[in-house]
Amino acid sequence: MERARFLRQVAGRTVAAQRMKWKPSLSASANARKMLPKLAENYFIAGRKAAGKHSPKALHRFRICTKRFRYALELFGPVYDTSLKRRLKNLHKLQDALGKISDYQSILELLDGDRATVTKIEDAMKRKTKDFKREWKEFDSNGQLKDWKDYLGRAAARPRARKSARPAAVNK
Amino acid sequence: MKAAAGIHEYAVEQMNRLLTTLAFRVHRAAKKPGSAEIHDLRVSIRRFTQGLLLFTGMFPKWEVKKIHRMLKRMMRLTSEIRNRDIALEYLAQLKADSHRERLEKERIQCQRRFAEMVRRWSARDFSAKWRDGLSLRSV
Repeated sequence: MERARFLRQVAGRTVAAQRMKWKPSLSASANARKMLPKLAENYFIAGRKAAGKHSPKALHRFRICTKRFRYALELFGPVYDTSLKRRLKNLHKLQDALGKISDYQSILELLDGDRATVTKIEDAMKRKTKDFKREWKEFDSNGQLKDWKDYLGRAAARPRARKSARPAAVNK
Repeated sequence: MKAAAGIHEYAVEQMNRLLTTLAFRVHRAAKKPGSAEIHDLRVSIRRFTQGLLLFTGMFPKWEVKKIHRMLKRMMRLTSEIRNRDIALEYLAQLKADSHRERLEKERIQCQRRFAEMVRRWSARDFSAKWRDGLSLRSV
C-alpha cells in the first residue's frame, strides 16, 4: 500500500518537480534556456503516457503535470518573447479538457449511489476523455516537441530598432 | 523583471511576488469564502508551491519542507470546499435538488474549518515568517 503511494507520488513528480540544477554563475535567462527544454521533454513523455490510458487518476496526474509545466514556464515569462503566450494558451486548452474530467470525477465521488446522475456523469467523462485525446494529438503533432525544445532553448529576440528613428530620406 | 539577473536574484524576486499574491488571496478568501475566491486561492498556492519546487535548492530545505506541509494541509481542506462547489454547480445545471442540501451543509462545515485554519495562519503572520524563513528580504 505504502509502496503504491510512493510510486504514485514519484510518477506525479515527473514534471517540474525534479530537482533543477541551476547554475548560479549564469543569468536567469541562460539558466532557463538550459533547463526548460528538458522540462518540456519530460512533459511530452508524461503526456504520451497519459494519452494512452483511460483511468481518471492517470489523467488527473497528467493534469497536475500540465499545471506545473505551465506555471514553470510562466515563472520564466520575462525571459521569452511574446509567442510564449500562444504556447501557454495551448497548454491551457489541454488543462481545460483535463479539468472537466477531474471535475466529473470529484462529482462522482460526492454523489456516489445516485444511479441516474452517475450514468450521466460517466457518459460525459467518456466524451471529455475523447476530447482530451484529440487535443493531445493536435498538441503533440508535427515535431511539436522539437519545436518546443528549440523555442525554450533559444534566447528571446532582441527588440528591433524602431524605423522611425531613421532619417526620413532613407525610408523613401 | 530582470531576466539578465542572476538566477538566485531572479528566484527571490519571483517568490516574493508569488508570496504577496498568496497572502492577499488567503485574506480575501477568509473574508468572503465564495467559490471564485477559494479557486483563486488554490491557484496561488499551486503557483507558489511550483516556485518552491522549481527553485528548491535555493532556499533552506527545512523551511521549504515546513511550508510545503502547511500548504498541503490548506490544499486538502480547500479541495473539500472546491469539490462541493463543483458538484453544486453541476446539480444546478441539471436542476436536480437531490444531494444539494447535504452538500451545502458539508460545505459550511468545511468553510468553518477553513476559517479556523486561516485564523491560525494569520495569528502567526505566515507571510512575514515565510519571507524571513526563505530569506526573501535579502535581495
